[in-house]
Amino acid sequence: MEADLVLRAVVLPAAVTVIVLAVLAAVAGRWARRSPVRPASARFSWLPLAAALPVVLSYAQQEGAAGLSWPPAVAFGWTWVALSLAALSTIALAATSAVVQSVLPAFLALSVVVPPGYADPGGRLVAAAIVGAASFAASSGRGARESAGASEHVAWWLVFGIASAMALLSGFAKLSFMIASLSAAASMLALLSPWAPRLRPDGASTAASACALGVLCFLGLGYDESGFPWWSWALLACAPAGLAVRGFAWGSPRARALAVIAVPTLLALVALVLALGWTGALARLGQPADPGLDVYGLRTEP
Amino acid sequence: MNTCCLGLRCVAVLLATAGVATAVPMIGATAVAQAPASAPAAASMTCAVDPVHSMALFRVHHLGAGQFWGRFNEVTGSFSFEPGKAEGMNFDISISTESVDSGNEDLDKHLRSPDFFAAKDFPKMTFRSTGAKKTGERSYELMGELTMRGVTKPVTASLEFCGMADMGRGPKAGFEAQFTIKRSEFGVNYGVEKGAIGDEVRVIVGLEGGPKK
Repeated sequence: MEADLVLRAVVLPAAVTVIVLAVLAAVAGRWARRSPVRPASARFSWLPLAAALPVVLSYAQQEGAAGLSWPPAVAFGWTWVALSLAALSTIALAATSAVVQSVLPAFLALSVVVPPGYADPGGRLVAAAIVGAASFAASSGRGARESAGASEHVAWWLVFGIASAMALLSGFAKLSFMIASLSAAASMLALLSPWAPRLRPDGASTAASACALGVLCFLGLGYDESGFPWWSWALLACAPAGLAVRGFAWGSPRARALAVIAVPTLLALVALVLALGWTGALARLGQPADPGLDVYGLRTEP
Repeated sequence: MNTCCLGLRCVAVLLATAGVATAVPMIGATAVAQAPASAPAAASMTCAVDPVHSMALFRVHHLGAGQFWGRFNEVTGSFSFEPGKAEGMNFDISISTESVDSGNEDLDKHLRSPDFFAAKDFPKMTFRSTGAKKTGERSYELMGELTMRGVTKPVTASLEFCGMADMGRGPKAGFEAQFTIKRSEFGVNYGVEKGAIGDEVRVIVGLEGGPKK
């Protein structure tokens, strides 16, 4: 069952997304070569779709046609809408400043998603402010000192992977699979980007990914059944801010590339470890694995 | 010898007398409990569900092998009926999805999540009867609407009148309802595709209640 779900709800959405992006990049490249002058929209990129399309496809795979009915019956059903809105707005805001491109999509996305217990707009405004700030920090430092694109994709791969594990441990498997599809798409982009410059991350894609992570963490918090503290979800949503390390002057390009991977991953890992430590689950994880127990700790072998 | 036999006979008589003495009240109690089923028409009764002695069980096929049973511990609501009659029978039952209990805390967390009952979005599932038909001396066919995860579908339950008695705590009446649903029709589709967790769920609801105050 799990292998089938991973294939349908994680690998397939990621693969389709990367194929779509590769085709769009190829078409955009052909248009750019034909154009005699560099167009004003040269900064335009479809890459932010990598932060939404896997989730849309994963959601559709898991929920079927009934899950796409309008309006969605559960708060979780708005996830794909919020992430699509965030990705499309970052694309549309490509020509604006980094602040606008980071903060506005966060507020747009979090105005759509209302997790259980957050009907009051105050909590959502705070969440949007945190996500917007993390998104802006993640996008900052890009420019002259920009490191190799693959390292940022690797960072997203790991951060989304850790977020997926946290969602699973909080008791919400479908959310976990949706986040895992983003992780899988980032891993595929990391492998392709050294040979495909148009698939390397830019400000818009970074903002969209940070926004997606924030929305998914907010949903994780709303549906949390494991008692993970709110600040562990907030810290996880802030992990992309670690990408700002790319702008620092120290070290060789390789050291900076490694730092771009290590700092956000470490922040995400700290969030997960603190959440598990808070609930006492960390102590249980430290115990020797018992192959006779299933995922719920039920004995499956005599 | 004779004294010994006489003594044994006396003990046997004493034991038999004691047996009869304890059996008489039990038979009496059973007779009281059974009485309404064969009793002539009585007045209509509206009962509040006793949440301690009522529960809902569900059964689903797991991994193509065994039948998995779980229960909901909080059943509330009311029902009204007139013994022996289908007319006027009315059930309005509410089940707390937060109270799902599989006997395993980790599994309960998963069952409460939107993968299954989305307990935070939909803390209650409800059943409201729309009609009833008598099918036997103590059995009925109960039509109604089940609302789960915001989806309302008609269901038909087989209903059994279990009894009515007053054992010193006020009159009590009991029913047991059974029905089968397709959970995917209510948006609960986790694990359905490959049949890892069955689509058809058998639900048994045991109700006990006393007069509504």
